[in-house]
Amino acid sequence: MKIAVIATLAALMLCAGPSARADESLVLFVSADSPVARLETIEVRELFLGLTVIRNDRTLRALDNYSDSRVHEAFLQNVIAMPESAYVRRLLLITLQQGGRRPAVYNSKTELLNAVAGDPAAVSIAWAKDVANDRRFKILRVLWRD
Amino acid sequence: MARLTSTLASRISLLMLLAHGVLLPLLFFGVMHVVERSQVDQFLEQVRGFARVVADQFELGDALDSPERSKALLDSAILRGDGAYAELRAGGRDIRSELGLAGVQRPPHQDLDVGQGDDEVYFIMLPLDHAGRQAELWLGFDERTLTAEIAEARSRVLAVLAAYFASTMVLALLVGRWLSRPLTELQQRSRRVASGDYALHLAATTSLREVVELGRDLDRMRGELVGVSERLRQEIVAKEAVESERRTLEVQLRRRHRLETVGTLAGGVAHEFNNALVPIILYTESLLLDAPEGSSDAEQLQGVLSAAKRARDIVRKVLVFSRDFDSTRLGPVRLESAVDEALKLFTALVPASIDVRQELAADIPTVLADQGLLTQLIMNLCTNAFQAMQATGGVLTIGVRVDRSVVPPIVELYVADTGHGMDSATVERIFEPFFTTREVGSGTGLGLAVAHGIATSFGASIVVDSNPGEGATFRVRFPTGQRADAHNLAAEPEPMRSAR
Repeated sequence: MKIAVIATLAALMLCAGPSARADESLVLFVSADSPVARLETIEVRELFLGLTVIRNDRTLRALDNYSDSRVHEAFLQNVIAMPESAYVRRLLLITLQQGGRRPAVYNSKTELLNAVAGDPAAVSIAWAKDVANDRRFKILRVLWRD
Repeated sequence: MARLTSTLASRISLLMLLAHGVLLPLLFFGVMHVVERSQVDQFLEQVRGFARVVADQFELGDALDSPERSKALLDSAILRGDGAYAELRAGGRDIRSELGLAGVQRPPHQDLDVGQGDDEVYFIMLPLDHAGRQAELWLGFDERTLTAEIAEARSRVLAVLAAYFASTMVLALLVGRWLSRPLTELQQRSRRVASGDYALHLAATTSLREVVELGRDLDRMRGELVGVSERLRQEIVAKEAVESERRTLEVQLRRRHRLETVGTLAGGVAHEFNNALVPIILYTESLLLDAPEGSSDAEQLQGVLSAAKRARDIVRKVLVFSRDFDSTRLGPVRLESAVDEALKLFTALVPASIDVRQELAADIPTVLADQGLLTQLIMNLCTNAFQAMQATGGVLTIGVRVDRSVVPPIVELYVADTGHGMDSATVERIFEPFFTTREVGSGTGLGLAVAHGIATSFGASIVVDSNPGEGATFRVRFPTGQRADAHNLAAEPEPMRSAR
């Protein structure tokens, strides 16, 4: 009995992947079919600033989550490290000067999740509670915990 | 309140006040919103960027492997980034810099916007991942500088808006007065026109097209009203003149009818009376021839004859007055000679107390008249003048002048005295037969009536100017040139009164 409990806890810890509290964590997630297993912080920032990030011969595509203002604000503070105005200005600059692509913007959580699930190259950010138990997705890392 | 806002200047000012009362707060809050967001964005960009740099240093370096290096990095973060708080939470250990602000407590959650919490510190929490090791980096940044800058910006914006509002209100007052000045000028000019200065043009010294056109329209209206007024005045004057002339002609007509009636009646009576006198005179003369000279019968018969002749003379005068003269008996006559002849007769009869003077103009045209009747006319006028001065003496002037202001000229014969004069009631009746102001028995009252009849038969007019105590002047105006028609001369004496 005792061994079973320990084994269950260990399995849960292993399955959880990156350590996070499922309902108050901001996570970086991709489709379950995505070949991407991990992205460094600098790579995440480059991706969401419109720069090109290639992993496994596949160009990754960032999707901005605007469905929740708190998600977006935490994203700006903890990932991009800029306010909204500076972020938009930087995106425009990179797009015009370096030919980068601005991340697609999603105001609907459902649409965002469907878009990520259907594209192995898509990368986005959401609350852990929205993607942790969805088999369509896998969490790459916890970006921020509240 | 209504009185205060009844002028153009005050209403413009009030409208500006109301408009700015609504717009300025909107402008203030709008500007402050932009300023605040700009300041906040700038602050967030700085602190988030700096926090990211510090987090990268922890993740990419080896500070997480050493508490001392971790603390040094935290201290550096506070010193370089103007931080208020710096703490690293890793593996159950908390490393905190002591260089931060005293009394600052880390909140349970990070701040996502400026002003959250009451600590005036903006907290950022960044999760760190170094070689599989997890940690939390907490950095706090002082918001008071940002708050102070926003407050200063607010003060500046308020000052600018206040200055703008004050200058706008002053400008509104000035504009209001500038706009109302030409209207006030128009108003003052209108009042002067209304008070009688009709020649004053209604125009305002301004470049405002609406006011200029208003002035033109008002002035056009003034011109039309003045024109109408002038026309009305002229019509009234003309009508009054026509009415006056009508009344004069009515008076003259009534007098003429009266005189004609009296003349006809008198003529009839005189004619019958004359018929009765003829046998009386004849028989009396016959009896007188047979009466012894000096006898009482002769004296009585002489008295009867004298009275009858006197009656006959009176009858003749009445007949003269009522006679309608035949124009074929008139011929060109020189008035000077008639005056000379009359004066010869007259001066022989008047006493020395009467000074007789003669005034004759040069180049007197001839008039159409009868020499004998003309002499009688002059004698009658002179007799009347003498009778007016008989008690007191005076000056009798007889003269002839020519009025060349008309064509053909008018020859005027005048007899003036310095006697007692006549009042208007007397003048009104002076030419009526048997009218006299003398005592009963001292005159027949036919002299002036006969003179009137003679003048009328010549086609002349006879007028009298007199005032009580100022003597009298009788003027007989003779037409010249073609044969004068008595009917066309308004041949009615106008006993006009005029001051001499």
